[in-house]
Amino acid sequence: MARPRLSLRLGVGGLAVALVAGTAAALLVLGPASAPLRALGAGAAGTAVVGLACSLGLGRAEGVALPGAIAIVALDYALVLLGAPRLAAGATAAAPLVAGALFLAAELGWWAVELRRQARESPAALLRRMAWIGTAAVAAAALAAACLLAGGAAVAGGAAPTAVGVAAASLLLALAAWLAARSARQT
Amino acid sequence: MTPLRGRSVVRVAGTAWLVAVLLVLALALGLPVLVAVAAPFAVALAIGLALAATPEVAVAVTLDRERAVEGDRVTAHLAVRSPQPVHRVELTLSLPDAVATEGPARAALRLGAGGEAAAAIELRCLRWGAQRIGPVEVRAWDQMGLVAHRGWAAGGATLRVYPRPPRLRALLQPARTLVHTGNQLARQRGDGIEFSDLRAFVPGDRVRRINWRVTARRGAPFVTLRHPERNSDVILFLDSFRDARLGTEGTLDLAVRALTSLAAGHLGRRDRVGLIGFGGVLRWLKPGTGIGQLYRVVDAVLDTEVVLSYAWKDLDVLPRRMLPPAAMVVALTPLLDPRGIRAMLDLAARGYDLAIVEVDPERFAPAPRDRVEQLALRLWRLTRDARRRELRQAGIRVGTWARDEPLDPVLAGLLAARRPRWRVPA
Repeated sequence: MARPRLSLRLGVGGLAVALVAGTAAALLVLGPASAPLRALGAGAAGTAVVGLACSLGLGRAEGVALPGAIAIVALDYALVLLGAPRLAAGATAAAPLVAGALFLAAELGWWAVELRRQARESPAALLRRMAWIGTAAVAAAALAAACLLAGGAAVAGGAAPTAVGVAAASLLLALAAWLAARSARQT
Repeated sequence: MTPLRGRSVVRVAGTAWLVAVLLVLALALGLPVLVAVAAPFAVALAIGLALAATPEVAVAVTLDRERAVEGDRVTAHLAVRSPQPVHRVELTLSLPDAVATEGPARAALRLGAGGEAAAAIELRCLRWGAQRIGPVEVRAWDQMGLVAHRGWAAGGATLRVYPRPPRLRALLQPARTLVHTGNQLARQRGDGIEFSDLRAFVPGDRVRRINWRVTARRGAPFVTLRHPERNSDVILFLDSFRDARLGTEGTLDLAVRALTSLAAGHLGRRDRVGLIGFGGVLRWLKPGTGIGQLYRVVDAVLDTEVVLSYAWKDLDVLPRRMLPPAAMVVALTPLLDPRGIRAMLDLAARGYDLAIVEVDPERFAPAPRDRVEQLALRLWRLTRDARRRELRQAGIRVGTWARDEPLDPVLAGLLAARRPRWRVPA
């Protein structure tokens, strides 16, 4: 049974922050041509990275900043796609990498949140967790690639598919709100 | 199985929120690529919620040994099993103040389906007593690590921590001895080793007792008289009405350590040792001998603690056989409670050979900060001096065990304070 190590939590949390920061920086380098959009993206990414670092670094934080940071980097990705049409094809092709990196960052971030309660970690469990996270990240990239392929198929658009999408997104929002309320009641 | 009730769904809510935001952005901006980014999160959430179930976890706490001495290290083994796979289970061991760990008292494990796992936490025994190790707080995440469940595993283990007694070089000598063989020099004459006197031979004396040198010098037979070695009854009286305490140490801790030393020393000298715990809770142990009695005495004092009580107690509540007539009573007291002092005066009035080891509570008193506190401390000292004087006037030997002193000089002082009462029976 290994002794509890602060370095493990800092290492995992730092890796999550570095992944988010790296992805955001890569997207900004590719980034939108217009200066205001670039400044907006840089500011948002900086805020996300700092917020995430603070959230994971603080002992009592529940990791609430993690989904926000991931969402902001995704927004940066959207800015790249919108602001630099000449790069759009390449940026779209990079979606599996972005999805894999963000999923990996999220998994590492949640792991760092779990590690904030110092405990004697079993080395075997650590190895299994690392293997699981690595496999999940690869699977996430593969799933994103599959989604891209499916999205590339010629399917007729229109009001009905858009309405289904809006309904699905609204349902998810309602689910998130309900779960958040239940979490506040039960913990 | 431990029922796990409290739940934390922060991760579920966060992931759902993220997926929803990405999907809304994809719709609003017309970017299907964002759906691809959101897809892994949505699939992980869906699988996690589909597989989510409250884990059933059974936890058992065992110690590598049930008895230890202050300062020893003991390993607590936590065994956990669950019929379902558990992403992560955290076991937090509840510990009393008297037991510490190196690092956190928490272990994190991962369980496969129907699996078992074990963790070991090393404990350090800081203070004597019957210490309760446990219960265990369980936090278990479900199979995908989305929802954390909380609960308490019933049970635990009891660790009996014995005081580490200081070694004593000398012990108190009782005024009266019993008829059984021991290591105490009796006042009576009989078969023994220590020389006592010479007297003229009388019919019935054993020939082997004739002192031939004196006989040759005097021209008439003389015999050598000797003191036999006998044992004695020693009653250890622990006054637990009050305790002066500073941090983790108090007068009761010191008194218990000293009592253990005295019990071990007297039992090693083949004396019969009994115990009276006189306080809010009354305890007694009738006199006995041997190593078994030492364990009984130590076990009896382990549960001793200061229990607040306003009931007036005197010696009449004790069984008569607890105080054999020829017993020497050694009292360990901070001299803080009038009931304890009254009982000691009562013992002296009944003719018991009584010696008091006063565990000085002043060492645990905070330093005075101003003139009023200085005056209060001075008054307190004067009151305590008056109490000691009252006890000495009653013929009781009182030795003050002051700060950071070994117990030996106190016992030596008590031994020297005994009045010379050597009267050899005719």
